[in-house]
Amino acid sequence: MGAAAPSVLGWGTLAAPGRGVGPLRAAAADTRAALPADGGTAFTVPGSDPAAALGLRGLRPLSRASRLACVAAADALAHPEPPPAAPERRAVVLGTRWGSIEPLLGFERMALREGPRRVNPARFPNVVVNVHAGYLGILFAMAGPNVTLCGPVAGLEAVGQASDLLVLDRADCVLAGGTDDLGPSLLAAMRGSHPTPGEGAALLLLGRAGLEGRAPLARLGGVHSCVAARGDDVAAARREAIGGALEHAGVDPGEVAVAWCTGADLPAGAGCAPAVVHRLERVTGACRAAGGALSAAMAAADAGDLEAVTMATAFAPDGAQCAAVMLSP
Amino acid sequence: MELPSPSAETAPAVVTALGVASPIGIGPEDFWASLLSGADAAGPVRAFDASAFGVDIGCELDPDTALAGSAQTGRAARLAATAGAQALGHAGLSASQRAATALCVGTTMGEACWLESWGAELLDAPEDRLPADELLRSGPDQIGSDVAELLGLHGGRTVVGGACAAGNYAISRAMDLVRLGRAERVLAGGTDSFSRVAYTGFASLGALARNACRPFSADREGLVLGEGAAMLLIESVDAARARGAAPLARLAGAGLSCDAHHIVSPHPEGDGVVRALRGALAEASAGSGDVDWVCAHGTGTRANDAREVRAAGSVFGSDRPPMSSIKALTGHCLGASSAFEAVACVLALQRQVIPPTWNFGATDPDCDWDVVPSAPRQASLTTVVNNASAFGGANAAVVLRRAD
Repeated sequence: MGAAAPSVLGWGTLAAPGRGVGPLRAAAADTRAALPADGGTAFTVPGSDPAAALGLRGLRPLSRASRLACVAAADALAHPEPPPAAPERRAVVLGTRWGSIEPLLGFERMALREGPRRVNPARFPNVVVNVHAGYLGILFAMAGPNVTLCGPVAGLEAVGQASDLLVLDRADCVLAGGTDDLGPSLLAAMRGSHPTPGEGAALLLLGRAGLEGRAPLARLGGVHSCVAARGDDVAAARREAIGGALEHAGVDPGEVAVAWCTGADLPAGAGCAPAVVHRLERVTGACRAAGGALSAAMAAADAGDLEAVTMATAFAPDGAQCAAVMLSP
Repeated sequence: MELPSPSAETAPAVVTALGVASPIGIGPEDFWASLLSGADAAGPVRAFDASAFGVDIGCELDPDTALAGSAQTGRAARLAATAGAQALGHAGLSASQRAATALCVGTTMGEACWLESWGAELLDAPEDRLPADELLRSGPDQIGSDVAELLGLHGGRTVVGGACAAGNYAISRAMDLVRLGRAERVLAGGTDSFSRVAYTGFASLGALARNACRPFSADREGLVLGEGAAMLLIESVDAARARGAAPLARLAGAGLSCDAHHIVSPHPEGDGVVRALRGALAEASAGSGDVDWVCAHGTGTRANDAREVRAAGSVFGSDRPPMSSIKALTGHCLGASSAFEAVACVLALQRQVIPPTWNFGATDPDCDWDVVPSAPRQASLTTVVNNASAFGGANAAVVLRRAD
């Protein structure tokens, strides 16, 4: 028994250029050098509360990374009808790298300054890394599997794991992607790093093939991730990720029309030379786990709108390498 | 395009080796001996000064325990690498087999040890005074990088942030990778070091016991925080057979769910636990009457234990298999907990003995169940379930079966 490629039913993106794929596309199409809004330190999402406009109840305890994810989730799910599955068949797979570091620092500061018996217990959940996915489950009635992946390319890996949940019949639809914020401590730690740091979130709503109720906007052809150990040939690992994703999708490298890349350019020798290659960090900064998810959302949007084969990549300097292929619906 | 659609029947995953770095023993044999003898690891907290907490017990590893790695490696990674090295040593993999092995590890706190090593003076300093390198090494994914490097595993790595169910999430993901043909062999489990931040948080929630962890007991007063790691080598049947390895147990199915109810408090009726248990049983093609033992989450908090018993009642009806918790001895080791419990499941299946719930006083009407109190029990064990729940409402249950 086999299963057809999962459907992409929606997406939501939030990054420095703005909310939704439109601002990201416009920024990527602008060949002038993009500058962070603050003049060069970081590509941050404007506003102290990016989720304020959602009008959702229960947001008060959420950290910034959770709020970024909520905006992306609300947009990915936005539709006149509820998600096309019962709540217990709706899953979440969320990638993050440092999504709980700032709350952890804040909690530890409070405990050391005020004493451990005077901390606010409502702030404790935010130090635990799966809190963001947990809040998505609560706020958006996603009561199926609730998975958090950690790492620099975890946002794109989450899309792959979401596909597995559908194939294994653990869910009918999955919110998958990543979130990472830039608090003051992380910003200070990464000051001067290249590429310029950024923050954001992106989530795709994936559905099992044939799920009734919503027309697919695109299809997920395949995802492949692998690892380059320290000292390994990183380019070879990146080629493996690309080759694996293409093989899963059953398409030739020459069919890829557009690529959205984060972490590094497409490696030479992959046989994949799309006419259009976007380097996401140029306009969003390095958004860590959110970067791969942003790439996936943009690739899905282009696959649907251009009726083309597209690719998303997320490459860490060493370690994890991941690629995904999106197909037209 | 066709994607593989495997089933547990056609692409089964098996456990072939175990590793444990726990407060009650280093290595599976010491761990098992303690589970049967009731050797409790709870004692005064050593990792930090706990005098200001109003509670001061924890379950830490013996400070003389030799851990893999060096002082430059985070403690959670060192614990996981110590357990992982045992499993790999027991398996006797060739160099190429080891290099091709994937890693899947779950955690709650990541490498918070670095941040916790800073004092108030540093934390109150301007942000740009913080040690950037240590801050950037505090994320959970650092555990995956360090363990893979220490053990020479290059077959892919996944770090799962599943809080107190992270071990089961990692094990179920490893099972899926094998079933999907993405990996022949995965070293999977969970790890967490003894964390002051976690201790502060659980104390602030009023969840810590002052004297002892007493799961399901009428006089239970909360959980005792612990630390450690457990790792299981999970392989396809074909991969194990090809190298002549005898399976210790089969992984028959998993169920994952979210309460979608409250970020900390469990659903009062255990709705998510019910769905996780039922999902795991369905995937294993097992009925409620087929289960011979449930290794409970059993933290010893009033709400969790009562909720878990209610959920078990919904799932098992009149079948009511025995259900015990090992956390009375190990403490609640966060991301490592359900990995410890998976090891206990494997050993119970092999030895046909149910490890009991120690520190049990009297039956609580809200936990009226056979919790195997205070003494190991010989039993005919074919199918067992490992149950776990976590912050965020995440639940994960795994069904394991005898290998033969």
